Amino acid sequence: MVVQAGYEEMIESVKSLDEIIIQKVRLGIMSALMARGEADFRFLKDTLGVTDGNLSIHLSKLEEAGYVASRKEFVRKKPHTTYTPTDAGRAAFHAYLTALERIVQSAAQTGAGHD
Amino acid sequence: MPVLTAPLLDEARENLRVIRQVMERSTKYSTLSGLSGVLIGLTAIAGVLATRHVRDIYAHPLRLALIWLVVLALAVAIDFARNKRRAAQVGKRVVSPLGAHILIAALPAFFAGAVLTAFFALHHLLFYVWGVWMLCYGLAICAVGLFSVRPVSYLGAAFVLAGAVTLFLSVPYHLYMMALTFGGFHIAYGLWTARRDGW
Repeated sequence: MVVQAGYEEMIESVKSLDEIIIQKVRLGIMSALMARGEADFRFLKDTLGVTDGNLSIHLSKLEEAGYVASRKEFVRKKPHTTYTPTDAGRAAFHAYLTALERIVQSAAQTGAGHD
Repeated sequence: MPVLTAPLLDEARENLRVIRQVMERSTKYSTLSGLSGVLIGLTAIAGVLATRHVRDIYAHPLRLALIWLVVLALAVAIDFARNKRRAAQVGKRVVSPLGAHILIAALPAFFAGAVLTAFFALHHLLFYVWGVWMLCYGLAICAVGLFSVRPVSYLGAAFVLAGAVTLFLSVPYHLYMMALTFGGFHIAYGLWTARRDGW
């Protein structure tokens, strides 16, 4: 009975996983922004070890989803973009983290981790 | 059922690992801010000027120790205050497990520097202490660099190299090397960090 409940909870948690954040690079971007509060393009690129194009694509998706806000300015006549997580992004990240933790806890109940 | 859930569990654990790793890596950048680097560099230059100001400083090891303990205390206070403020801005605490690891990694090199300084003072060789400080400080920074971004390791290596060079220069140049390394290297690193990540 406990195993069944744990299994169902796990399935529910999997279903609740955010489709935007679930992608590894986007998860990395959100994690970095949550840790620092804000970060510029170059910092994210160096931290995640991705190419400019790849990072741009995933930042655009996060912006489209309303999870990330960007602020463009010129520093020494060069464009400089700073990214911050929005309230929706923060909430989605926390929900995603909670869902992951629930999956791990549920798996412990079903005994999946001991195979 | 466990057979079905095992891949999900692996994926969840992998994602949690990614989150933890990226968050840790992201906070590593804030161990020395641009402003801290510049202020610490200026403090070190003030230390060099104070050292030069005292006549026959090597005959007064306590005065020398006092000057540089004040410099050290100011540098630690500047970096701590700046990091505390930066951490507060993103709702974090300045004291973290990562900070404790960094401190533990740096301690042996600082301890070696302190012991060698005492030894040199005892044998009236304090005029050679500057190069040793650069070497020991460089080793401490290299240890910190293991937990940090690559430029921190470069900074550590620069101190080690400068220390090695200094020991083979004639003594009058040693204090200039102090100004160049503890002053100039910190200021250069601070300006580079400020340009990259802001003050």
